[in-house]
Amino acid sequence: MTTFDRHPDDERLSAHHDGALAPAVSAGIEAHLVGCADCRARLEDLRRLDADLTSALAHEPAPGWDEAFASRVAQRVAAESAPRRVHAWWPRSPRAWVMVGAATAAVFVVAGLWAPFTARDTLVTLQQAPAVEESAPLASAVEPAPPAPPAEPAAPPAGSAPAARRAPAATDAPPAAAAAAPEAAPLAVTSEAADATVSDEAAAMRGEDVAAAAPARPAPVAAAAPASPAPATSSREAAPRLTGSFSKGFGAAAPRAVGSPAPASATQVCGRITDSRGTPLRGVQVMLLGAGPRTRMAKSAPDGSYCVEGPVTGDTLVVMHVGFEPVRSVVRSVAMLRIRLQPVGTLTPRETAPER
Amino acid sequence: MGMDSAPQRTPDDGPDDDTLLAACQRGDAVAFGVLVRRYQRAVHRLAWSLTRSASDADDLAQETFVRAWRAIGGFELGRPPYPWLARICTNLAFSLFRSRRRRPETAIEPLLERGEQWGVDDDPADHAAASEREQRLRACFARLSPEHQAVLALRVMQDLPYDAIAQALGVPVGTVMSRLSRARTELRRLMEGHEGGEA
Repeated sequence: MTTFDRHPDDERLSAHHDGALAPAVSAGIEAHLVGCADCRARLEDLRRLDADLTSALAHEPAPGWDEAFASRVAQRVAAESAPRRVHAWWPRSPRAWVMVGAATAAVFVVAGLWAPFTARDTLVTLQQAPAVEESAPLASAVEPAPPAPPAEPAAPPAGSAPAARRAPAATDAPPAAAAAAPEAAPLAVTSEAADATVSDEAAAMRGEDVAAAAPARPAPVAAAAPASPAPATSSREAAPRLTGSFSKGFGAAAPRAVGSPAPASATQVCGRITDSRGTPLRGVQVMLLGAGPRTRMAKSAPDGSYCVEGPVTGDTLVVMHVGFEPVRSVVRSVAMLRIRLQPVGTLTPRETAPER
Repeated sequence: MGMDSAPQRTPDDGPDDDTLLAACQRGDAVAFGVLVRRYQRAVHRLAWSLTRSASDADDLAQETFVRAWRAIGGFELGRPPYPWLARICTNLAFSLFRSRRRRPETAIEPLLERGEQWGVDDDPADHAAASEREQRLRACFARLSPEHQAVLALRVMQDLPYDAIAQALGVPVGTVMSRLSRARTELRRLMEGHEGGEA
């Protein structure tokens, strides 16, 4: 080798010392070392450093450590599920990950729609604005992802017990809504109970109330019934599709809206308006559009809170703000209505983190 | 490169690694127990080199095996398990170090003053046994970057060949070579500074 008369650099000498070089290269260095005391000293330094480090960092555990350690690990391992179960379904290809991603997204959408049923039974039922409701099947048809067929056979004109049972459980209803979700409302509406007591009460009466509420649905919505799978399921607002924004679902059981489209608990619709990050929005225009000339307006306070007086079941609540997608929902009963506005044209369904 | 006889392995009469690993992948925790016994000393030694603390080393080693069990379904049979275990251990040590640097309340400041970036010598017996030069060497080793500490621990303490170190660190073999050389140079420089400063 031509390295006979050249001093190996540190890296090479270090690798030679470790026996990591190709034999020919090492032989060349050996040949050089024979005639170079400096390099022999460098190599000796390396050996010494290794030896010193080995003893400086040597550490043998105390007697009995082996058994103790092994059994600690065994306990931890026993607490874990068998690895095979974890990995049998673990996606290995990028494509599988995409599938998992899609499925996860669908789950989140469903969960989002579902949350109001389970976590926060609410006294508000939101419904699509009639005109929009008609577009729901279209939206459903566009979105292929979710597993369940978008609309199940027209629900028996609500009010029947089975429908009532299905709605709160929502096992089959949400997929339909989920199908529409990414394509539909670019805005997110969350309805929530005003407080825990209401929530509890609502939970207690969930079952029957849905059934009771169903017949009370305002005419325009009822007309669109074939498109909506179950009376009290979350319905999607297929707002003008300026963006493909993800919509956090909303939905609600409709307790106590018994009987007729009479004024729902008479008082007011209150709530909070935030942007998609949860920051309160002030000065947001809130309008309550009734069938007649009863249009009431309000603006949100600095903390995003608002109240609109005198809602009637069937009124449409419209929330508008510059730079955000408008929100429309039909009031079915009164409670807290938290609204989350999505910025115009910035989000896509895939990019939007599932909220909550 | 040699070192194929895997000094990291504690000898036993059990089945070979591949047989055990295959059983582990079928969910056999007993087989995994045999593997743990086989490699726990090596993993613990590595963990101790990186943390120089008996309790940290214990936690680190234990966590290494638990993570290994969780991930064993993805292990490629036919490869030696130790570089894989060493990789888990090293990564855990790196994140331990990072989290300590992020959270000053874990008393990293005093450590830095003492010239130790991570880990504490918490075993008086070790101190007593170590010569003065060894203690200096330990202190200097502790001042190396985690990457340099890891590459030296794997090569010098664990006697792993370069390709296994490359697997353990997730870097190319060429990087192992240059990193080792730089780590040695740095360690020697620190030692010289240390000795010069004290003389």
